[in-house]
Amino acid sequence: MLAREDNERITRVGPGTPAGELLRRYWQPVAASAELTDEEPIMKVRILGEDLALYRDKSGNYGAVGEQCPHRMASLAYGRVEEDGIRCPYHGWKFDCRGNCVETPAEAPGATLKDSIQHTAYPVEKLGGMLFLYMGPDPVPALPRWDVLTWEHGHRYIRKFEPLRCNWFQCMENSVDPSHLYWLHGDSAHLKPMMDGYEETHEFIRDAYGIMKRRTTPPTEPGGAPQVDQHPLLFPNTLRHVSHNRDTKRHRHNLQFRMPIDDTNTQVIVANFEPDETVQTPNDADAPVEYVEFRIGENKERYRMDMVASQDFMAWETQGPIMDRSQEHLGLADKGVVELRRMLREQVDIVAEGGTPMNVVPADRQQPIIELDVINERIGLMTPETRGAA
Amino acid sequence: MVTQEQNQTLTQVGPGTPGGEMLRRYWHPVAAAAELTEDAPIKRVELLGEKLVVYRDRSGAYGLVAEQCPHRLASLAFGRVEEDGIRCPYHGWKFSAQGKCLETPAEPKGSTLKESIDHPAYPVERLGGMLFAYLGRDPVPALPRWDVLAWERGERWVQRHSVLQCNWLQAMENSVDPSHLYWLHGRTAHLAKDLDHYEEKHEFIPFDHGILKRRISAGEAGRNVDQHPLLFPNILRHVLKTRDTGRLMHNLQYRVPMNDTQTQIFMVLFSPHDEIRTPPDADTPFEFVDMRGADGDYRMDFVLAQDVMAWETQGPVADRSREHLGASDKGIHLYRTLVAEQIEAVQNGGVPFGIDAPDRDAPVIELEVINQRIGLAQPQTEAAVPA
Repeated sequence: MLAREDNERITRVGPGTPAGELLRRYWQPVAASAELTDEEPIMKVRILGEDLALYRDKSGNYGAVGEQCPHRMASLAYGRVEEDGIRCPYHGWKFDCRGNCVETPAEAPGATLKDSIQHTAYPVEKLGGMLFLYMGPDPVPALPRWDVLTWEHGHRYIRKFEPLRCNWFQCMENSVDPSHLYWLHGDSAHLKPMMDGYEETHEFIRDAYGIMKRRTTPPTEPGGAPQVDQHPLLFPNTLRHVSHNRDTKRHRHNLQFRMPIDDTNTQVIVANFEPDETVQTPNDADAPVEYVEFRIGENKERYRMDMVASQDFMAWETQGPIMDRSQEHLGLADKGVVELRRMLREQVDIVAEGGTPMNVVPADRQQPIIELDVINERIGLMTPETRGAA
Repeated sequence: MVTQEQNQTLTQVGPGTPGGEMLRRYWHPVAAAAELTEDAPIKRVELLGEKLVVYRDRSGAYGLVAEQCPHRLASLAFGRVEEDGIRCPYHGWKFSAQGKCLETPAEPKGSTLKESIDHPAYPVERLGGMLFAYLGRDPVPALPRWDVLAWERGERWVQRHSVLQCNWLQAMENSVDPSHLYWLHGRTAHLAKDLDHYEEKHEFIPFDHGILKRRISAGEAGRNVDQHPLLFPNILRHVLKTRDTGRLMHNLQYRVPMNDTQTQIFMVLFSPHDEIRTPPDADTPFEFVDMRGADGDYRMDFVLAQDVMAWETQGPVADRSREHLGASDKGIHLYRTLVAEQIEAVQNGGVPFGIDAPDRDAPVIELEVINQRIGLAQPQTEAAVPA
């Protein structure tokens, strides 16, 4: 249980809010790179409560600028891109990707108005078919080269879900809550035969990236060995997971990004990688993107309950737009949730006091690849997948 | 006209509000019994500002509990029912219909966490094809056995109307306002030929269960009396005759406050019949009636939708400080006084109007409904229908 003020402190994401300032210290996934095309090179995005126009200019550079033109506030999302920037559709003001105003064509020749304009602009980087945005203070840190984004020995693809109508942190708590698996996913996942004999142990181990969640389940057959799965939560808002793809029979490694749109809306984007030695996918290439809908019913008031992700979405959304944690009743089975909240509160405090939070690495110390210790014995992944040296 | 403050007192329905506390002393319908099936045994409902789920467990018993699980606040509406309760879909906490937490399966064996949990739960009773809930304090009063719910000699069915987007009191004021009939319904109802010479008398007579509204008309159709009771606080008892079969359809129109600005209307209909029998505990057919057409606008050729248009356009909560009442609005004035008095009685620790203690042998409450124009000159009684 949290006091109402503490709940506010960890959930609000706008500029100037304590958690909003923490989240701005991390590169945030803003779109799949394939969403920007020659025909549609500009996309309106909302992230951490800020409305932006994300674009790729004619020379192939990415930019993210405040959506409203500083001149008379029309939307740059309806503007046009040029060789080296984006131009407002209303009066033609033009901006480069650093937010400099480079033209105000209706002004008199020699006008210096543009020199006084500094438009909101954030750096964008592309990796593994995703575009990432950094909205925090300088210096800009390293973009983490997570294995799923960086590996090249297989297939990579992106799934983007309908936006969730709830706060981002409800999704993250779910990632350190293995005891929900039996009940929420028991009927549709592989757990049904075990539902009557719930008995498993959970460990939550802090590491440099966040929390490693380890779940040990009892043997499924008499005399068998217990099974382990472990999936790291990458602080602050990513789950690294693996599952079995029934269609391809391959391991599906994935990163589940829960990107805060604003206080009460969250964009889930999942980057997937399936190792396949017969294929190479460069990590600077676009990856195919698929949109996934999960709402059903005449007024889209219900959820597809035959899909594991949608079952989770049901739970998170019905907890409320911002779950009121002063009303909950936690038990011992919720120790992972308690640990994650403690970590978040610590990191919020560190940023509030002027420090650098965990899992932020200076740009000059970027690692070529970060391979994570993901195990899932049930699906035959007994040791973590690695390609590091190669 | 009332002040804005008085208006608030009359219209607010949430827990702890004066109006909400008064309304909590009465049973309210939450669903048609036929809406809960083996395949869909749980339904989300909102009543008096509280978000709830009503369910039927595997043993056939009904329950009504707060929607959000007290553990981590996920919705029980997506849970599952078992032999003796409802289980949360998220971590499997299980609750009885009394709100006791029966199981917290992910907790260590011997955990006493569940004993500290008391989840909001309310009694449910089934009658005449409807499920009724009581959200008030103890003692739980009798569920009134209105004739339309309890008669057996005939056919019964129930309707859920599309959600009314306004406060409940606007719908009720309309029920003691017979002078709107000529103008709002004149063209579609039977009144068109009298529209040029409006001439009728209205009486509003307080009685044991509310206000008996009597209308004496004297148009070209001749002198006719009709009288329909308003059952306090939020029901209209009405009768009409179908054009196609010529049968009488007695009905109860429940205007159930979901919250301050939304109202769920249920209609229970009963048509006396020499041969058909519908016991009060039997399942009854259920239908959904939309007050808006395919274009999303009011169905203005339909009497009930004409009313809905009037009520909704008065505003989410009509601002009664801006109205101008006339002599023809005396029924509204009387009803508001009755509502205000009952709110005050509850605030003073008393028992409001029309509440009875439970009595298994309580008789059916037969109401004095007359409509001479459609041939109902004397109130209907069950005894009058051939056995």
